[in-house]
Amino acid sequence: MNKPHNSSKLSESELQGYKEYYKELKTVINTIPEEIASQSQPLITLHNRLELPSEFKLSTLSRCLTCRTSRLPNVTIANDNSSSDLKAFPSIVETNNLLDNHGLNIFGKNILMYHITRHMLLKYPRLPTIVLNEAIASYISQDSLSNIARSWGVEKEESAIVERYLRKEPIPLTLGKLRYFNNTLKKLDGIERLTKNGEFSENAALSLALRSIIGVLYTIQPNLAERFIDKHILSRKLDVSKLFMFEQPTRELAKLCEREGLQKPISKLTAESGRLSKAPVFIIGVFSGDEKLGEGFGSSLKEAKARAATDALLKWYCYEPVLQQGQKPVVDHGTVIV
Amino acid sequence: MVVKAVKQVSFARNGVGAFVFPCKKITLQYCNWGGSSDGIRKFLTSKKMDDFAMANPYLQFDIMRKPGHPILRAEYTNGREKVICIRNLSTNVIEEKLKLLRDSSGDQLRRWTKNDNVRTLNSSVRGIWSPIHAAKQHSV
Amino acid sequence: MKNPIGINYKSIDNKLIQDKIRSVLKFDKYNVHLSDDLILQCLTHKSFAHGKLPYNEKLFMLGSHFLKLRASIYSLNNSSTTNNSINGLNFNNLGKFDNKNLISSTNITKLIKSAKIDDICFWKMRDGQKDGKFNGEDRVLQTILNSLIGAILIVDGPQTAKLYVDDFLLNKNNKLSLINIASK
Repeated sequence: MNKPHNSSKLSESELQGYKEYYKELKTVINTIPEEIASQSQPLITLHNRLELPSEFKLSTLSRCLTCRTSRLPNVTIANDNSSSDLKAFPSIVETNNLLDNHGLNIFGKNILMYHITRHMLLKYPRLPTIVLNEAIASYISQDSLSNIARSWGVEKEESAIVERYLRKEPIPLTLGKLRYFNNTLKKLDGIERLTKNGEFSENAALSLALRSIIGVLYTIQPNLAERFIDKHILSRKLDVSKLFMFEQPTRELAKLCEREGLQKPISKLTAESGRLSKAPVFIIGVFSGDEKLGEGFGSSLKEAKARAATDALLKWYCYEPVLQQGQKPVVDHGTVIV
Repeated sequence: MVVKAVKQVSFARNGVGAFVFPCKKITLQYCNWGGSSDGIRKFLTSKKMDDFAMANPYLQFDIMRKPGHPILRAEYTNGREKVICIRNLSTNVIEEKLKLLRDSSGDQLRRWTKNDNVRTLNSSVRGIWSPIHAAKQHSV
Repeated sequence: MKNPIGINYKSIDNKLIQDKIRSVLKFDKYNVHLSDDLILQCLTHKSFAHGKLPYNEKLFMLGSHFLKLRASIYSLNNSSTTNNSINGLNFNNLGKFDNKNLISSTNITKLIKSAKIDDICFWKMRDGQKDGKFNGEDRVLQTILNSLIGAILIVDGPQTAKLYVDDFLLNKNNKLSLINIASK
């Protein structure tokens, strides 16, 4: 007789405990007090690892890790106030609308876009627009940014709130993790969370956090954000010549020479080996007057000629000016259109 | 337009520009009862643990009590983890093991062949030697 | 080679074109030194000579990103601060309509038209018989202002460009600013 009574009593106290845990979690996420954020180990170590300045508050960093999607759509429980059962199973973490990284992300994106475009235009003034766009994307596309954020060791919050409660996990821990979906349900292996248009995939959330961090740095001091971008993003390796694909290199080169007032490009065979063998090699140079514009090899004359023209075009487009003191930067006239 | 763009990704080069510490978290797991955890128990209560944690602000330290032999588990930014069993080890050796985990990049250990000393993303400055371009042609 | 108004590209009067831009957009006041050639390049749209003459495509790209950034900073500085703000800036209003409207192509085109520099832009209409909307006039004309900003950025540096954009284009007290044009 006693036993069932006891167990129900126990579960009630468990429920009460969960309710309190949940409430506390909710208020902490909604307000992110600095003193609780400063107890969060993952947050502190992330701050240290990125060598952020001390003006960058831990609570702000935690805000950068809070995505707007970590909030559930509002299910009105107001009507069900009477039934206490429902209140005992609160299914919503209502992240305060105002304390997420939405606005910061937009701001960070604007900074990144401008800074990278300017850097690329100054470094490679002659890149064609589509190639320039692709080059910029290789630095700040969602995939690249999420990779960078991953290499910083940004952790994701993946466990459900109930699990956290049962583990007796301290609440500050969650402040140092990336929250991008509401953690009311447990994640199971083999079950994928479907997102609309792939908007809030893990990658999107990681890049959101990265952009927000840059946004915050800019508010502290614009220089800081620029240095941060230089150090973390522009330091990556990109070979711009690999971005090109020419369809008619010889024709484009001819057009380019015409516009720039150079003599018509002429391809000349400079060396060859084994023309009648099964593995011939031809070396062709493309010349404009006496100037050699480029050189290519190939196992047929046609192939070598196309390679030579491509080489000449790449040398033109991937030009990196070395400016002397007082020299004006190069402004490109635009790509030729064939 | 005749020129088209091909998608490329930029490669990360940790240490060029910014250096982000690869090890992010070390979990020290010990048992309160077993004799094999003697060393780690001493280590945790000694000043060494505090000093080590203070000297490594990039790392998160978790301490976990669990029956069985004690282990050290390190997590890295590349998503891998390394585990070292520290049963019956003394405090000094445990500290050495901690340093080993901290200084590791998290990559799998590989044996480098003798000629594999230079690894780079950049192309050679000298270019590749070509018999056709050589100043002196070879003759038989 | 003539523009829609009938100005010949080959016989351009510097006084009529470049000096007009300099005086209307107050380049001297902000220490902006763009050469005649560069201003002409900013005025030339890609459609005009099919890539044979210098055109403004990439300068436009750079300038529009810069303008976007400065506009977002402007709206951050001008929105009310709440206790949720970071370093005194309120981030909740970014991405709202007012903000985007400020630097929309329609608004920039309005500015160019009220500054009366739309007739010295070099571009080719899709169909001369049809109206501006059919020919995408907005999208062509907005490139002038953005590419001029881009040119200032490259030639005179970010400091000058920042001062120019903040003090001229995003200044309530300036009659010819994007803010006053948008509020009309």
